[in-house]
Amino acid sequence: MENHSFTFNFKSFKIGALFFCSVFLIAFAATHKVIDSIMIGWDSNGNIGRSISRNPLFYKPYDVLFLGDSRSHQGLDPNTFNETFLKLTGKKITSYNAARPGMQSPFFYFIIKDYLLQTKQPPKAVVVNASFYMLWGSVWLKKIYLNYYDPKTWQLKEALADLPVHYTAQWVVNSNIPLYRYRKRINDLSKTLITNPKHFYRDLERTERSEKKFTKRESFGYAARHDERADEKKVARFCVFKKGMERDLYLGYLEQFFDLAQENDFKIFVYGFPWPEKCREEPTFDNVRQYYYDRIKKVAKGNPNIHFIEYPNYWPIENFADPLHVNHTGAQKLTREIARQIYQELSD
Amino acid sequence: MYFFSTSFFKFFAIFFALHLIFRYFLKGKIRNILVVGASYYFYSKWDWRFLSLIWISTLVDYYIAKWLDREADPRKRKQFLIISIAVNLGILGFFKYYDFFISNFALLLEGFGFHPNITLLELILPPGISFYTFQTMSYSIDVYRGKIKHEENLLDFACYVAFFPQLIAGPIERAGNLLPQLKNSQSVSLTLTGFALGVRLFCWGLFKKLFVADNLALIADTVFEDPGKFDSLSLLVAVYAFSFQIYCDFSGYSDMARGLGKMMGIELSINFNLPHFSTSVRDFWRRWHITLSTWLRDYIYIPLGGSREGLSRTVYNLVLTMFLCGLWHGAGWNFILWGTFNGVLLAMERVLENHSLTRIWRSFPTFIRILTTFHLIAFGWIIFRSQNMDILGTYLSRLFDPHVIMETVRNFEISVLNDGFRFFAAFGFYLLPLLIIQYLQYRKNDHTVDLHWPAWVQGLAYGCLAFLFWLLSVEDGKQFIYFQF
Repeated sequence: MENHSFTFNFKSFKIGALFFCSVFLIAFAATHKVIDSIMIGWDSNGNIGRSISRNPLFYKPYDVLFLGDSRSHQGLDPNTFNETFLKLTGKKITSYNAARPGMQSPFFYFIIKDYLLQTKQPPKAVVVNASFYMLWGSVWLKKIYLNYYDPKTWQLKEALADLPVHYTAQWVVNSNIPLYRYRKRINDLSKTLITNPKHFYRDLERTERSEKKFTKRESFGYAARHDERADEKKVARFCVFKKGMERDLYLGYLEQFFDLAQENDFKIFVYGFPWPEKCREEPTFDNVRQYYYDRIKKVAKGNPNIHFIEYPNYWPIENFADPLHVNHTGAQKLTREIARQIYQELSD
Repeated sequence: MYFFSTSFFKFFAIFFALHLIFRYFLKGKIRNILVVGASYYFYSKWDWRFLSLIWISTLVDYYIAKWLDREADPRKRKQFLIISIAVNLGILGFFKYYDFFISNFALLLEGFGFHPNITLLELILPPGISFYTFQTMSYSIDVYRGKIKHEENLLDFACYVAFFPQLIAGPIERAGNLLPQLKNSQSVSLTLTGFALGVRLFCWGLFKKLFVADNLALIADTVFEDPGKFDSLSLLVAVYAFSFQIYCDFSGYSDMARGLGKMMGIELSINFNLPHFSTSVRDFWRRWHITLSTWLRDYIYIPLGGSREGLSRTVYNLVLTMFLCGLWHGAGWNFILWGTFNGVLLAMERVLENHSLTRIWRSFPTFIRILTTFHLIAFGWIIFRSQNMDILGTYLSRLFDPHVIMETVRNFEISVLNDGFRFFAAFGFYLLPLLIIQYLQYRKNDHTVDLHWPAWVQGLAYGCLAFLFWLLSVEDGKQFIYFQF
């Protein structure tokens, strides 16, 4: 069975180990580009990260940039904004929606600073939503941005100083080694391919659709939810939040993001995202909502470039695609509301 | 704490560092304190409450063996042995079989018109109980038979019972093999070469488990969940998939256990010797779960009379031994049926041993005999894997139903959407690396065949395997199948 007659030669073992490492590294290097090019379009999280860091459409001089998580991504339509602004002022304006699902304050900072460095021209304003999700948790940050947003050297240097070391390490490794980054996705896909090929194809189609949505030139980054409608019965469970969940790390990055506005002379408009009317019935909801809004206001205190947009925050269910996101009608309503609130500031 | 979990790697890294320090700077006895402590910690991570059962088993067999060696009166010696067996089987029976026997007894009584009011205990099965109880029993029996002397040192004996690499799912070690190695640290050579060989074996086990077994489980689990939904080809491939899944799952565990042992300088017994290359059912049972097969042979089959008392008695002994083998695997009719089925196959081979048909059969090319044996054994796996008799019935009827077979042939297409084709392609893909390596091992009759290859071939082979493993091994490994036994 086990033949131990061979003379185990440690020198030969070392040569073997060296060969093993070489072959392994060559395999990694050879498959680096291949895997990346295959997996582009097969990974929806990848579409999100790349749609900013590898998107030439984003790195153009715009007057207004929208930033935030999926709620701004699906809630602020640059075309509607530009039209409303034209109607109100008679002047043309350009805007781009750089908000993406799961985006949190560290990436508000990294993305806007990178935009400023690349375009050498600050926007007149950045509009950002004050979502609860922006300030806590780390799942999206790790799963999406530290995997798929290609970092620049300065971003890594700064991350090393401010982010936990293992976050930065993940960002370096995962964003540079596709084989590592895509392991989970390849695993999931191969599993689905064997057990449920129809779901596999549906998954790929969905990913392809999202890729198109993210890169559609005429949408300027906005992802419409069309005429989807939320189910009112499911709203209540989305209106339960707790106070005190915010992370100091995120508040710190929010401050750095706000400081960029002052340093580069542009305005940041923070708006509270609309909620279905049903949420008002939850006894603590409004109180919690106000708590987080106040936390952000506290961070912005003393910074003259930060403005807060106030408007009625509870909207009819017809404006929502799901309890957390507006549909296209809601997005038009929201975009117009914001345009009306800030046009005077931009016209100056 | 599975062998492939991060927590185990951390545990082992700390353990091994301390092990080195203890070995080079302290005496051997202290080393065993570390091994026992680590083993109990490892076990407590599964369920600390059941540590008491290991302690009971350890203390009972330690003292009984001591008394056995001191006692000259055969009657008293027998009584001591019976106590040891009764305690071990009592623990095993209570936790593993109580509900099964009670519920079946109640069913039997209901058949006679009685309606007993029974209470099922629904106990959690203590991890590794079937393995360590058999191990300690073999120790007492061996001392009783005078094959070995009792162990004086309780710490060394506790180390033998709870040695963590093989505690949960074997190999079922005989005291004669493991105890001297644990006891005498001077006989254990801790070398870099041994460590490297251990790592190699551990990685190979990891590959078998996470690349082959858990990926093939996707096919087997899907089909066995609802066999009525699948065509004959899918059912056939699922049986093949399960055959290799259970092999790679269990032998993967054994390889990892042996690899860990080797890293520590301890040689654990080989548990699998390329069983899918068996040319007869008898040959299969010499290659499959060797430490259990030999245990059953030495402590059940031979004491029953083995093959010494005529053909009919041999047949009876074989079927009874394999019936008990099935029962050992689990408290379920499927396991009992599976064991009995294998017993009948072994008995048939024995009955036909000198028949002219057997001589003709032996003249057939080896690969035909291997394929036939594989299919006979695989048929047994359908019984083993079916969770109930309904699933077994559906499985067998659809697998062999001519209408379903014809329908399968008519509807076959080379498409990912065709279940049969998809399962077959996936099965082939995940099995191919294992088959290539094991074929080479079989040809040379050497499990370490790769160590004789030139360095660049080794590098290439390990690199390819590592690449495949990295990319396509499952991320969330399943529990080892044999943990439930």
